[in-house]
Amino acid sequence: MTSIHEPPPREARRRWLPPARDVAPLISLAALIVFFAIASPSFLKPVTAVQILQQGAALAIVSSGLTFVLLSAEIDLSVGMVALWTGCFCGWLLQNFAGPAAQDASFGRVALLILLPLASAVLLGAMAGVLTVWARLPSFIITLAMMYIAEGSARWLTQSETLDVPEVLKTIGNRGIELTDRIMLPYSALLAAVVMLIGHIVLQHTRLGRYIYMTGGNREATRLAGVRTGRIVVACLAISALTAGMGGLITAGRLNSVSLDQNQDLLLSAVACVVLGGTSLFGGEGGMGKTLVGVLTFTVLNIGLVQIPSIDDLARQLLLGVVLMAALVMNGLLGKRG
Amino acid sequence: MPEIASGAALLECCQISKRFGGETALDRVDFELRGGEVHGLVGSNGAGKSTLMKILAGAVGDFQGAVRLDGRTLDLPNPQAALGHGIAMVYQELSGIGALSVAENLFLGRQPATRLGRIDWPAMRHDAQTYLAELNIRVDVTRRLDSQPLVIQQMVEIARGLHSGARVLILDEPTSALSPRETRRLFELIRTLRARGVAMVFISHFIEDVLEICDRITILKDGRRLETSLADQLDKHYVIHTMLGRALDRDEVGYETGVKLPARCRRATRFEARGLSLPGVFGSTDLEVSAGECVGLYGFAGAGHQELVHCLAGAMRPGSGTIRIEGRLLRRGDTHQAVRQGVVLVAADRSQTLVHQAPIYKNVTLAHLRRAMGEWLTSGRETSVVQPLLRQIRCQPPRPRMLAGNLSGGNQQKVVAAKWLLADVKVLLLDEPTRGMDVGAKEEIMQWVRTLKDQGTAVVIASAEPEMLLAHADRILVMHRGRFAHEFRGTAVDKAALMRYA
Repeated sequence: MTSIHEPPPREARRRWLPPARDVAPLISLAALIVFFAIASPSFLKPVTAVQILQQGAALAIVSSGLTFVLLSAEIDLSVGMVALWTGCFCGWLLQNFAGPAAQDASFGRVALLILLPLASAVLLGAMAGVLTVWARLPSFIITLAMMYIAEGSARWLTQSETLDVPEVLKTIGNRGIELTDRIMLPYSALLAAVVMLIGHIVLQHTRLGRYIYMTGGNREATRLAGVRTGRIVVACLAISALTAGMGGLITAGRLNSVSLDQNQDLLLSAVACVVLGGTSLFGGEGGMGKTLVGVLTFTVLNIGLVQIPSIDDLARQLLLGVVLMAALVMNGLLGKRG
Repeated sequence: MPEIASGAALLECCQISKRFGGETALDRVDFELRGGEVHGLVGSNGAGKSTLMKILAGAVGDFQGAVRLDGRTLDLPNPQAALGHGIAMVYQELSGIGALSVAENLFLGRQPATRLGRIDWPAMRHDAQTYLAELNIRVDVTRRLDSQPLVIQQMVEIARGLHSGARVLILDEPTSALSPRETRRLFELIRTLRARGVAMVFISHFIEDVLEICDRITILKDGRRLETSLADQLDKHYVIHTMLGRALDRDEVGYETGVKLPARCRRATRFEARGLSLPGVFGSTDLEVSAGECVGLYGFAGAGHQELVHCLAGAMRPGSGTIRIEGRLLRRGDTHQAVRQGVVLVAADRSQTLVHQAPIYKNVTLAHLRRAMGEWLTSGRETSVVQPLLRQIRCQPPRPRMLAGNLSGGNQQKVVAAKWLLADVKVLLLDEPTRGMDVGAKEEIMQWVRTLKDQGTAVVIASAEPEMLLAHADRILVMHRGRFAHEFRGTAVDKAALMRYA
C-alpha cells in the first residue's frame, strides 16, 4: 500500500490563508468603500457610518435568519411579508388592546405587544416548514404561498390603514447610545450584532448548526446517518420567520408607524445580501460572517449612491443593479479560482 | 519490460507525470494504444488509472509529458479538445440525460437540422435506429433513456461517443453495476467495435472481466507503470499480486471453487422482519438474523435485495410488515430511531452517504455527534477525536480537515464506515459496500465488517458479487424478482449455484 507521507511544510502554512472564495466578498466591499470615499466627500464622515449601521440593522437580522434557511438548501420567499405581518399585528394590538394611555402601558403589556407578533411569525414559519417536509414540496412553493398569506393577512388586519407602533420600537429604530453629540451607536445595530453573534455561535458550535450544514450539503446522507432532517428544515424556516418578524418590527419602529408599503424590497435585498456574502444558494456552505459582509456591502452601496449628487434617483436603482451584478460576478469568478 | 511486437500505435502517452499539490499521481508513465485493440488498465485506487485517463480525455488541463495521436502531439486543455481529436470517455457515472429519448441522447449536441434550422426529428430517429442496429443494439429509440436497463444506457453512451467520430474510447468501470448477462452483452458490443478498428481502454477492478475482454493489460501501481503484457500471458493471481505487491491468501482463492457454509446458528435472534413488502419491488418477506451471524442476500440489480436492506435500516418505508431489534419494534422509515437502536446502513451510492463538500471529520462525527462531542463543538477537539478513527479504518490520507469529496472512492467508503465506530453497532446492513473499490480497499472494509461480526454484530450484506458473499456470509439467500428463490445454509455452495437461482 502507498506509504503515508507528511504534507510538505509549504502546504501546512498555506492552510491558514483563507481560500479566494472567502476573501472575494471582502475585496468587493473594500473596493466599494474606497470608491465612495473618493467619489463623495461626506462618505468617510462618522455620520455616514451611523447611517450605515441604522439602515443595515433590520436587513442584517432578516438576512441572518435567511442564511439559516439557505444553508439547509431551502429558501424562504415569505420573509418580506412576514416582516410586514408582524409589524401590522403589533400595530393592530396596540390600537385595539393597549387602552387609552397606550404609550404609557406597563412593561408587561408592551412585552406582549412585541412577543405576540413575534410568536405569530414563528408560527407561520413553522407551518411553512411542516408543510414543506410533510407534503414533500419544494420550500420555494410553500413559502411563496406563505408570502401571499402573510401579506393578505396584514392587509385584512389593518384594512389598509397606517397604524401606530409602541414607543419602545421607535426608540430601538431611531435612537442609540450617544457617544458624542454627533455620533451614536444605534440600538437596532446593537440588536443586530447580538442576533448575528448568536447565529454564528449556533451555526459553528452547536449540534443544530452542524446538522443544518450537513442537511444542506447532502440531505440524504445526513438522514441516513440518523439525523432528523425534517425537523432541521422546520427549525430553519421558523428561525427565518422569527428574524423576519424582528426586522419588520424594527423597520416599523424606525419609520414610526406600520403601513402596507413597508418591506416590499426586503426579500430580494436579503437574498442579495446573503449571496453577496458568499453563502451558496444550494446549501451546505456559508455563514454569519459572510452574511455580515454581504449586508455591509449592500448597505454601503445604497448609502454611497445616495451621497453622490450627480446621480439622480431614477438612475440610482439602475446603478445599484449594475454594481450588484458586477460584485456577484467578481465574487463568483474569484471563488472558482479559489 | 518485454517488448510487445507489431501493430502500429494509434495513441501514445510518453512520460506522463502529474502532481496534485504534494501528491504524485503519475510518475513518467508510458502508455500505448493500437487501433482495433482493447487495452486493459488495472491498479489499486491511487495507482493513477483515473488520472491518466482524465488527462487523455482533456479533463485535467496541465501535465508533464506528451500525448501523440498518429504520431502528432496533441493539445488537450479541455474535454472539447479531446473530443475534437476523437478521444471519448465513458465515465462510471453515466452522463446521458435520462428524461430525453435514446435518439436524442445519441445526437446530443449534434441534432440533425432541416434547412429552416428546426430539428429534423424523423431523420434523427431513423439515423439513430440504423446506427444502433449496426452495432447490434436493439432498442426503441423513441423511449426515454432512463427507462432502459443500465447496460443499454451504457451502450448508447458508447455509441454517442463513436457517432461523434471517436477513434479512441475510454471505458471507466463499465461493468461495475452490470449483471453477468448484461456484461456479456456489453462485451459483444466491444468485440464488434474492435473488429471495426476502434481502440479502447478498459479500466476495471474486476480482473476477470479485464482478462476476458482485453488484448493487452497494463498494470499501474503508485503512479508508475509496472508492466504491459498480453492478456493471454497473465492470470488473475499474478495481476492482483503485481497490483497490490502481495498475493491473495488461500481463502480468497477458495471462493472460486466453493465454500462450505457453517451449520445452523444457535444464538438468539437479534433482528427480525416479518411480512415486509415494498409494492412493486418485493413481496411479503421474513428475515431473521442472530448476533454474530452474517446473512448474505444475493441477486442481480433489481431483484429487490438492495431495497430490502434499505427498508430494514429505516432508509426506505416499506408498505407493510414489522421490524424488530431484540424484540423491540422499530418504526418504519425512521432512520433516527434505527441509528439510536444501533441499526446502521452502509449504502452503495456514495453520493447518498457522504457530504462531499464537508471536511472528513464532520462526516465521521455526524451520526453520533453528541456522544463524540457533547454540547459545544470546536474543530480542534473534533479533529483530535476523529484522527484515531481515521487511522483505525486506514483512511488514506488520514487528514480530518480534508474535504471528503477529494478522497478516492475506496477511502470515501472508509469514511462512511468510520462514523459507525463511535458507538455500538447492533445490526450492520450493507448494500454493495465495496462497489467501485479496488481489491486492497475492499479487503480493508470487509476486515472491519468481520471485526464487528466477531464482536457480536448481526450483519446483512446485499450484493451482486458472489465472491463477497461466499467469503463472508454464514447463510446466503438468493433473491429473484422480489422473492427469496433459495436459501443456502449448512451446505456447500459455489458461484454457479448462486447464479442459477438468481
